[in-house]
Amino acid sequence: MDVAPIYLQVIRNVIEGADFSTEQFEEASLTKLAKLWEQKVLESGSLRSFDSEIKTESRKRAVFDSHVATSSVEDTAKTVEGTKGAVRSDEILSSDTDDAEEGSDYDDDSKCLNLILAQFEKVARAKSKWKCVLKEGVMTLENRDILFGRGNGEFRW
Amino acid sequence: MAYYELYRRSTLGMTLTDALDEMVTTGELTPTIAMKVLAQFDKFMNGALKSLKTKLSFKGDLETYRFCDNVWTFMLKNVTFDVSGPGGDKRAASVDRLKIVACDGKAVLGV
Repeated sequence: MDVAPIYLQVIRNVIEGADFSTEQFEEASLTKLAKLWEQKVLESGSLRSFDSEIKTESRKRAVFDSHVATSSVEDTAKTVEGTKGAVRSDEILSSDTDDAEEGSDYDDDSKCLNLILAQFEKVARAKSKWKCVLKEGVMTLENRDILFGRGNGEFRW
Repeated sequence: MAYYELYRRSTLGMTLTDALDEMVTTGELTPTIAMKVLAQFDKFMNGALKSLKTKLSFKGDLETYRFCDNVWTFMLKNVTFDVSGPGGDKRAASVDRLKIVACDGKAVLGV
C-alpha cells in the first residue's frame, strides 16, 4: 500500500535504464529530469495514504527529500496548491459551457478527477448488474494514489 | 516490444510528461529523447504493477459505459472501496464520482 517506494523505483529504473548512447546527451540533464520529476510528484500530494496523514506524509517526504532539494519544495507545494484552488474557482464561475456535457469531472472535495487506470480481465453484464475483474491498476482517489494488482467491481446501471 | 501507454495518465506519468515538456521547451532535451523516456516509463510502470499483490474491490452505480477500440470506460457514482494489502491491512473509502479506463489485459502487444 506504500506508493512512494514503488514510484521511486520506477523513477530510478527509467532514468538509469534509458540508453542514450545514440543521441548527443548530457548526464546532467538526466539528473535534472529526475529531480524535476520527483519534485512534481511530491507537489501533487498523491503520496499520502489513508492512515495517519501527518506521520506518513512526513515519512514519505523524508524519502523523497533525500533526493530532491530542500524546504523550498514544501513552500512551492503550498503555493502551487493555493494557486490551483484559485484558478479552479475562477473557471467554474466564468464558465459558459453546458453542464450536460458529460457532467463535471471534478469532485467538490478534491481538485482531481477520481480515476482508475487498469487492464480488464473480464467485463460481464446480467440485465442491469455489471461485474468486472481488473488487474495491474493505478487509482487516484481524492489526490491520493493507490496501486493494486487485482480489482473486482460490481455496479448497477 | 510495446507496452500500454495508459499509465502515462497517472500522477507519475503526468508528472514525467510535465517535466519532459519543460525540458524540451528549454531545449535541454530533444523530443526524440522525451519519447524514448516515456517508452521506458511504460515498460517499467507495467513491470512494477505486474508484481503487486494488493487487492481492491469496489461497488457503485454505473452512470455511463463505453467500449471502443478494445478499451472500456466507465463513469461511476457513489462508489465504495475496500483495499486489502499483502500484509493483511485493510482500508475502506468512498467517493461521489469515479472514472475507470481499462485496456485489454489479455491482449498481446507487439512492435
